[in-house]
Amino acid sequence: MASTELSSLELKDSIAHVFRARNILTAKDALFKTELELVELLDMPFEEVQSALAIISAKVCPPCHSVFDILSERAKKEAAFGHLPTGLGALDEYLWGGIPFGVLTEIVGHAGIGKTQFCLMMSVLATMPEDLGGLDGSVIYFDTEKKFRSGRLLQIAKYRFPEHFLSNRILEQLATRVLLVQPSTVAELMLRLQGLEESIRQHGVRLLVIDSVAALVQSEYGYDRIIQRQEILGKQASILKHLAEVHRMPIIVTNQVRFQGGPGGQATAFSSAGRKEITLTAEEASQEGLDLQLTAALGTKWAHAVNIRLVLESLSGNRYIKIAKSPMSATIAFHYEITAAGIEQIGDETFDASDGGRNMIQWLVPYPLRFVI
Amino acid sequence: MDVVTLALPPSLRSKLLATGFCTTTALVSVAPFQLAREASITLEEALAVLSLVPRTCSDHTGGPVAGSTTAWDLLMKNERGRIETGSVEVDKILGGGILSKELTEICGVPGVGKTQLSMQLAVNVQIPVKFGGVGGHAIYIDTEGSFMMERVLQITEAVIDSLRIKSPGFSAAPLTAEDFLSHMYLLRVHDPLEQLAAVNNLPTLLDQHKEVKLIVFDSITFNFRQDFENMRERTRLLASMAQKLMAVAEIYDVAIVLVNQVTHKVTSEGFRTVPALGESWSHVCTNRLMVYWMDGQRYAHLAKSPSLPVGTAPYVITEEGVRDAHESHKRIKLDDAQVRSSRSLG
Amino acid sequence: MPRLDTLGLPSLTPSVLASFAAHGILSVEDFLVSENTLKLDETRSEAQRQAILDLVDYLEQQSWGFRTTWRMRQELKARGQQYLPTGCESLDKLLEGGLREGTVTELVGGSSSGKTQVCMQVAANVSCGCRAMVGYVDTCHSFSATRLSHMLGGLVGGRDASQRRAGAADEIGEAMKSVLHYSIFDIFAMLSLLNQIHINLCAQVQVGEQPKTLRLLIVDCASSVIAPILGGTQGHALMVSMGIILKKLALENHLAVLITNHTVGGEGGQPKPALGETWKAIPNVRLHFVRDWDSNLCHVSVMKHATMSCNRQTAFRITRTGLKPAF
Repeated sequence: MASTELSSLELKDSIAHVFRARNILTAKDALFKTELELVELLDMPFEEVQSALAIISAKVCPPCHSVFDILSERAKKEAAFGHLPTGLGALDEYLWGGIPFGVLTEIVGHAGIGKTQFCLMMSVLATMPEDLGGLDGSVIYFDTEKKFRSGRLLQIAKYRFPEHFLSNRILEQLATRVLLVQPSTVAELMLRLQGLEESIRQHGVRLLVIDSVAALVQSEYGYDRIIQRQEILGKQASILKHLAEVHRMPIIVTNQVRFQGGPGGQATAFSSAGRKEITLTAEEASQEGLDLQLTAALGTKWAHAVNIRLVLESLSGNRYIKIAKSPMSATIAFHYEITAAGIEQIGDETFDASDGGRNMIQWLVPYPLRFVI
Repeated sequence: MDVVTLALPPSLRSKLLATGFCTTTALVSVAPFQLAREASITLEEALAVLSLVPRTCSDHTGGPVAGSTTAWDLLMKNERGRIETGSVEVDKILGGGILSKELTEICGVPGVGKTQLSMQLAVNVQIPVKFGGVGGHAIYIDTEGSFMMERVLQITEAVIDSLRIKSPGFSAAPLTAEDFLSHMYLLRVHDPLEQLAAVNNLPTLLDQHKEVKLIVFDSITFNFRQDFENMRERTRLLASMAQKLMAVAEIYDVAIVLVNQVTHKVTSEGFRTVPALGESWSHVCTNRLMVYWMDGQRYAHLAKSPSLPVGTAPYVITEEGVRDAHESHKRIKLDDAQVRSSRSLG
Repeated sequence: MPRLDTLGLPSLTPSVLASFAAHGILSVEDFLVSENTLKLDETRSEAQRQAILDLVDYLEQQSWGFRTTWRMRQELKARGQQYLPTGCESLDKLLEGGLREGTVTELVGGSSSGKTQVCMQVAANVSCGCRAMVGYVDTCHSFSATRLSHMLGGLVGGRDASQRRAGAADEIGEAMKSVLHYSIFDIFAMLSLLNQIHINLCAQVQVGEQPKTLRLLIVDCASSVIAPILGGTQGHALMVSMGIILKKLALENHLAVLITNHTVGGEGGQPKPALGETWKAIPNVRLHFVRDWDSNLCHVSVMKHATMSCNRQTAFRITRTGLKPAF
């Protein structure tokens, strides 16, 4: 949009000529100057400058549609009003149909809780035909921690839809529709993301999964390069949001957890080369006085870019999915477990999990965690 | 009084100065033909110059200059409707609700509910006058992609339900969700250029949709917080944008709500949360509503207003939208569930 | 400085004017700055020499703008009251009387530090107590008629209980009709308005006094219309022009001019007044406002004053009926 050439707009010839002569060639050149600056630069009367700016602004201004018209359009073109159903009753109910199109949905939780399982399950669901609740499309799966297991993908498919996946041939077809990308550096990830437009069209991609956003960024950009890290994350968020909106598809990203608070600043629960590493159990940690409050990694700016945040947490031996951030539902949580068919809800109860905006994550794992301080 | 103060292009201005027409008093007594000849400009240009020159004229109010309104007239005209927020307590600290012709800023951390409040206002503005509302349409300018259709639909249906219960005449001529959503216009702005263009284009939009009574910018600051190397340019553009918005609010008699983010400022006492974009932006809004969390409860705090005292009110966000804080929770809390399950295990 | 042909001097005949014009001398200003081109020597004709002498005499009589402070103070004394009380006791005490006619007073402070409240309080006090007209130029929608009426209620209600009921409502109405509100959103509209006021007031002086004179002009907030234009030479020139007109209105039309200015981030995070160094010369008095949210007081300190030492301070509270002393 910034490169909208003035020559493509219908300005009066005399005016267009003056703009060109003074090197004001794009809409940005014109609108980033105040009217007074333009009058002085172009030596044109105020009224003419104002009318030229009005024409340019009208062209650059995004279209204005009523919400009803937009919704009607979507109802005609999209499945389930723009959602990918998850099969988890409470989630589909409280998210008005499932994982929504057009926005970023984040899955947060500590290691082993089931984030990758969730992603694999959603990948299967996206490839299913529409009459079975899917989007009949391909999936691009960014796997930065090498956790993808194609065997598990196929197992979920077979157990979830036994009548559909009757033969190995059909299962193999599924495997060809999930395209795996395993970038090893942040730069490579960025490059791939920037080149996605083409692939999305070519392969009929209907779901994008990034598992996980945090891993590469955290290992390459430590706390001493936090400004650059935030910048990179900002760029990633912009690209992803743009893709989600323009192609009207769901995008699932996973994120790790980190500890907030504690003496002298923040500690991260995952190691990175060259930093001091200690191992403590949870009890030892609390005895040391480390205030262990888990929260999603990557900070508030990233949190802001994400529309829906689902937190996977464990408490007293039970696992819960909590809708921690969603414009359309309160903070509720429900039981789940990991089964052969992926992730399934246990029981019908939903619980109120609001904690006054602190956005903390419950955890109690039986194994010791590694700290880097 | 200098000819410099007239809104003229530079070449015309320098011609006038070079031929001795330095002050507006010199221009008052000269005829167009004469001016054109003396200053070597066209007759058209001379007429344009002379039309800008202030001359003695009287004002019907007896004051020195035309175009004023007395404070008395302003007071008498003051029955402008107010747009409710959904929470009676918050409306109280706002003197009844959001007022037209004013710029109201809603400021807070991510996740506290600014978008929720904005969407609620965009629905509430449409409540018909006979049911205590303002009966106007809304323009929602979304700069972050946080506007969610499903949520607006949810809020709309809740408003319709409560109108059906509270207002007896409503069922006779009910409004549907389609009515509400057809009168809410959405613009998705992606960068500072589109935002500036949208502000410039508001008069055109408002001429097309004459019943608009509310414009929401969610958020006004996002596009200006990053990628701006030249801070002076940014300050100038923001100031210019602010003045245009004020003119629009005044001329078209609309309320403008600006959602702002917060940032952390280092002071002698440590960190303080302040509205983003700094001091130069802070003075722009007529009213400022800060929303924040405290002890697990959401609060709205009126921090700036020309006529109302500062005040704080609690509110909640339910599935129906923004409501008063005494709404009860219907679900069991997660902690209680733990107690139950641990008991059943033990 | 006007053109030579508008002065009405008989010795400035068309041929003399034409010869001056050949040297590029068209206005009084050109005449004053030309040193060697108009020498009184034999190359000049008799008519030209006479014209030059007449012109010099005329200029000495006019003494454009070069009035002595002694003469100015004489004029002020002759007019009687010099101060307009603000209606806020703490401020009046700080300013030793109030806003002085003929001066430009600037209120500087961060957002919601109390500047607009003071503007409205002064407007209330002058329209009611001094029975004069007040011009309120509002660039940022900060004027509230409701608030003004509360403040007027506070002023009127402060008198005897017997008088209070009798004509209180009428008095408030009268006062409110004397406060003229202008909504201005850009610099050219502002300059046009200020010019217009100046011209009209000058014209009135010749015609005769109106029943109520304009004695106070408030511009809230002056920096809003200037901030969008700063950054080029023309923008700077417009800012200076606005400052000059405000000073002219104060001096020549005997108004008290009250303007507000916001702050911007300065060195080391300390806020400083917006509009920069050049603007500093415009106001005669500068007051700095800081709001203390914990105690709900507004602290005012003197940043610039002709006779007072800086850093004199006071404070006031904002109440429903107006601005009250700090205790």
